[in-house]
Amino acid sequence: MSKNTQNICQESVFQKLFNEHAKDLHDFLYYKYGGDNYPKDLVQEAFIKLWNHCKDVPIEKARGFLFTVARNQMLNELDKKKTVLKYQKQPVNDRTIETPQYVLEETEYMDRLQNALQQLTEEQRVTFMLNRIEGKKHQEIADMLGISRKAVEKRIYTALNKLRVSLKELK
Amino acid sequence: MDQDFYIKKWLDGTLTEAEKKHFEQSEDFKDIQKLDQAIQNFKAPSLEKSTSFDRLNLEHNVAKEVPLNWWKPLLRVAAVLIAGVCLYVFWPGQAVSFQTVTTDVGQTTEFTLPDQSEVFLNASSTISYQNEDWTNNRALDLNGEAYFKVAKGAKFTVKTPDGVVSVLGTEFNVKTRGNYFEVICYEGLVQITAQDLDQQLPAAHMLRIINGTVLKESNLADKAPSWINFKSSFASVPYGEVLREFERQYQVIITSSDLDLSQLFSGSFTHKDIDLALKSITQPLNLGYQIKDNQTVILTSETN
Repeated sequence: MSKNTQNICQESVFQKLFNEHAKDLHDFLYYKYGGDNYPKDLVQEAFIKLWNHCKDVPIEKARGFLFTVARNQMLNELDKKKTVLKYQKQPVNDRTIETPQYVLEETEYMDRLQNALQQLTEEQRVTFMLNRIEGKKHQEIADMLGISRKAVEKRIYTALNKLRVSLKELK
Repeated sequence: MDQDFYIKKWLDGTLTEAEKKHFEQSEDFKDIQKLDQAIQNFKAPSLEKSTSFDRLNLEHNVAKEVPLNWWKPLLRVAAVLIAGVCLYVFWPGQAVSFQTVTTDVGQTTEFTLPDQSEVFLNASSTISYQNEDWTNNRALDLNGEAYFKVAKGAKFTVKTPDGVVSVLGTEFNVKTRGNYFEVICYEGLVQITAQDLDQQLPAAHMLRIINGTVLKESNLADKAPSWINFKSSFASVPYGEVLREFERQYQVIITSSDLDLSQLFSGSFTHKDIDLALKSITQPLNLGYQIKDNQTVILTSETN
């Protein structure tokens, strides 16, 4: 009975699902595999698959379905090159006068951070980025990845420590 | 261990106010804060939800709604019809759209054809060609003088009022000025068809037709026409043609009442300094010159 009222095959319901989950799915794929592996296309593909299976997937399982599909698809296509996340160049600040020394140190810091991020394991990076940048709670990330909350906490904490160590080492 | 507890709680955002205050005093916090700020620059690019959703283009409509507006399908038919009519009306106009490049007096230009062949266009010249289907139909119309560096490919044809020059891939210069027609091949082989002449011209050869008289020359040393480097060079060219070339490079009119314009001239003049250039073309023939109002040059025989 409840299945019929909230059917994914209804376009309005499907659109609502898209609005709720597309961004999270995209962020997850981006942090996991980097921008070079077309996370946006994978989001599209996952949602198309969901649409094609709309009769079989109960609405409360939709999120899990999407993440699983996206993960599997990515594994099929991915050539295992190192994921490199790129940082955006800071907008030029025209208010404060920055000494060349300061600018140099900042750029160096960012480069070191980029390197350090590459040294993390994929699992550590994804959890850490979702937490720090997207502001996801530990429990939310656990649900996304299908792991325990404790494991998420451990990953984020390890990632932070690793980053701090590699940033210090290079000083 | 104590510090770990704070960091872990801070990461989950579950520190109480008091704990937070305490933690923010610590040395670790400064470090972590800087890292936290820097990491924001690695944010994933935003996903345009509405456009992404539209792009999904959901095909199978399980519960297809019956169209309520009967005129909507009709609109589609109308749209197709209108598009068809527009295509029919405007198609021929598009197909023969010509690209034209023109230079003024004293101006040269350089451009690239769709197949990366290079064209250098000398002063007072015009080239027009069809942009569409260029790779299969490499033909252009030239009036004036141009130097071509042709990329390899299908037959490349230059049509001029005096004759047709065609090649497969080479470097050559074509000059067509009234009754003066000159082709110099710098690399490869060109095919010339003009009047009742049909012949091939290999590299370092020149062919010139003036008023129907054919002149051939071989063993040219130049690797490219001199006008590319802002200099006009002549080898046994009637003096009248030299003067006309001068008028094309400098915005002047040359009057030469009592001169023999058919005598042959060999030499060159620069495009950058009118006085120097005039000296170059007058002194060898023992002539004098006068410039009036910056636009008329009077040549006179020097009385010695």
